[in-house]
Amino acid sequence: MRLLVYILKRLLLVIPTLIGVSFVCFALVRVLPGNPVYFIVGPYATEEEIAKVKVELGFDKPIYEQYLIYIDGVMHGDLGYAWHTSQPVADDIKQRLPLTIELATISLIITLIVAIPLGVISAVQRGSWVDNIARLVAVVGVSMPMFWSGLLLIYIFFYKLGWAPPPMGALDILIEAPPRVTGMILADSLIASDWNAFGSAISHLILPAITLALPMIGSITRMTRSSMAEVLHSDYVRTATAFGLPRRTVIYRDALQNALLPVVTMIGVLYGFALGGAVLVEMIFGLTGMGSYSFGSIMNLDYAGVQGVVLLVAIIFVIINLLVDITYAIIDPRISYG
Amino acid sequence: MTVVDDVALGDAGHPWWGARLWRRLEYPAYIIRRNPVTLFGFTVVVLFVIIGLAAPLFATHDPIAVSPADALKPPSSEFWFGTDQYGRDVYSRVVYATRVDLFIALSSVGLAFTIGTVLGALAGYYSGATDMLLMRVVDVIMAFPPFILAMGTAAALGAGMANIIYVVALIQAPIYVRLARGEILSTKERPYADAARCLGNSGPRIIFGHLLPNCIPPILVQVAVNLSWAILNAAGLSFIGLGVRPPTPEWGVMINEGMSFMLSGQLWLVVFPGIAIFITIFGFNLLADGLRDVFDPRLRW
Repeated sequence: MRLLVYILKRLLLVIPTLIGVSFVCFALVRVLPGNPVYFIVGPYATEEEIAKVKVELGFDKPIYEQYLIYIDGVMHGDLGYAWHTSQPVADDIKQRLPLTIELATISLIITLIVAIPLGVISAVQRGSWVDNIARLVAVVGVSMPMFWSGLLLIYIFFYKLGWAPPPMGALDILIEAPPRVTGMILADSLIASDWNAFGSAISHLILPAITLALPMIGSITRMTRSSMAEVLHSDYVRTATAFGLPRRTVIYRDALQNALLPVVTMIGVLYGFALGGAVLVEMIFGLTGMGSYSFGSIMNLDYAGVQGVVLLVAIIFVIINLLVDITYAIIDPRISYG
Repeated sequence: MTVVDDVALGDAGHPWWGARLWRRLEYPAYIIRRNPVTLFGFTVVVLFVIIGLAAPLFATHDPIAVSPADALKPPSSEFWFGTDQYGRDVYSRVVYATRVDLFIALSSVGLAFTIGTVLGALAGYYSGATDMLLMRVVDVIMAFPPFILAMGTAAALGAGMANIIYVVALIQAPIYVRLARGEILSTKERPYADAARCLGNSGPRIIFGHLLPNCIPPILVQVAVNLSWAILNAAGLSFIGLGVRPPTPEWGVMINEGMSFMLSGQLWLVVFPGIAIFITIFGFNLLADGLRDVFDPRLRW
């Protein structure tokens, strides 16, 4: 019951946040340099033409009215029209969002698969060579800028070794894309049992995903290690050991469960990091997701495009954090449902 | 340092300020002796600050002088890190970029630290409606993935060094608001805070004279961590064309400019600015670890 109340409270708290987020997105775009009106009408437009486009875009109305119109549109799935792609922003985003989500998710999975065991082993075997490697990985991982490590990976695996495909797109040019179901290439090619496309997509996505995962691996390894080390020194672990439970059971059943709790809270933050980093990584690897779309929108002074991306990514981030908080409340009985 | 030394320095009751400072530094010095990695981090940071300050002394060429005849030369004794497509010396550009990147990092973190800590401390001490409002604003800022918000804001303000400082400060300030607020909330109920109140001190005097100095250590660790984020974000924004504008030498811009030459084999354009970013951030991270050891031994790892 208390859990239910907590979840409801947490859900209610999301509303003011989302209103704030929408307001920030709206305000941000109203101060963008360069007026899109001039961008649309071109350099030889007359005063009347400019005025006409301003009215079309609703720029002649007072700001609060523009905000209300904007919110009304967002509620109906209307995010405006992107001039640089000549499509509604909602359509653009529908096309590109799945790839970004796919990339962020794969990189998160890689992170958890690598970082948690590394952190656990290095905490259990303090001072061993695994521990030393883990500590090195942790500091090096968070110290490398993604746009640099990505380029180095391309240089090594594409240019020097020739193992990776050229950093252009999510599929080989000659391979036909599987029929679109989810929009995520890996999932779609699995659904269509198109192994050719699946392999090609994997080979195109693995380097960007690793690039995105490197800093996250650094921080999660570190976090797992210190949290595991703390748990291993706790009274209940000592008690369990004193009762004569095998060390393996103590570590992997009793200690690990509690040690991973702080890692769960980090997943939301990591996802936000991955969504932000996707901008850089997509740009380097020539992937057409939300990142490269927002970049394109900014370069073309496209108000609606930037607004749409920032708003949507923020909403996704808010929802993920909400899910993480709720999951945490469910798995950690100690939490006070404040 | 013993009492005998204090006496030797003069007044026994009031040891020479140098001796007091030395005493204060004794524990950090002990930590650094025990943990040479921290010393390494500290050295790297100091070294880069010196390179940034004295860039003209370290540079061998003019960082923005174009010389088409020397375009795309590999590293040599004349051009230590090679030259770019305009024949500019990559080494001198990396050196001058140190100045730009460190300036952005220090000023943005300084701005975020000052504004965030003051607002957070006031909010924590006075509570009430303003506190409530401020925390909602903080929630909203933190509802955005940091780099996405930075990108949106940088696009809105326009590229340029000043704007990038504001943007990086904006995404970091909420961290200090929360930290300072939390620290003040937990210290304002302590007896010494009550004592200060009973003596008739004003609110701001209690906050900034009595409470805040005790809250600074954990915040200082955050400063070191944030300096490294600031460099990553500033270089990242410049890399996508929203930060420092060419021809100003900046690490992110240099990597962007060199990117198209990487796949024709001129790797040096990308590698050296990247190494500079890497080492700087590495240094800040090690320093942050060391500070954490000094101030919060529980979290030592």
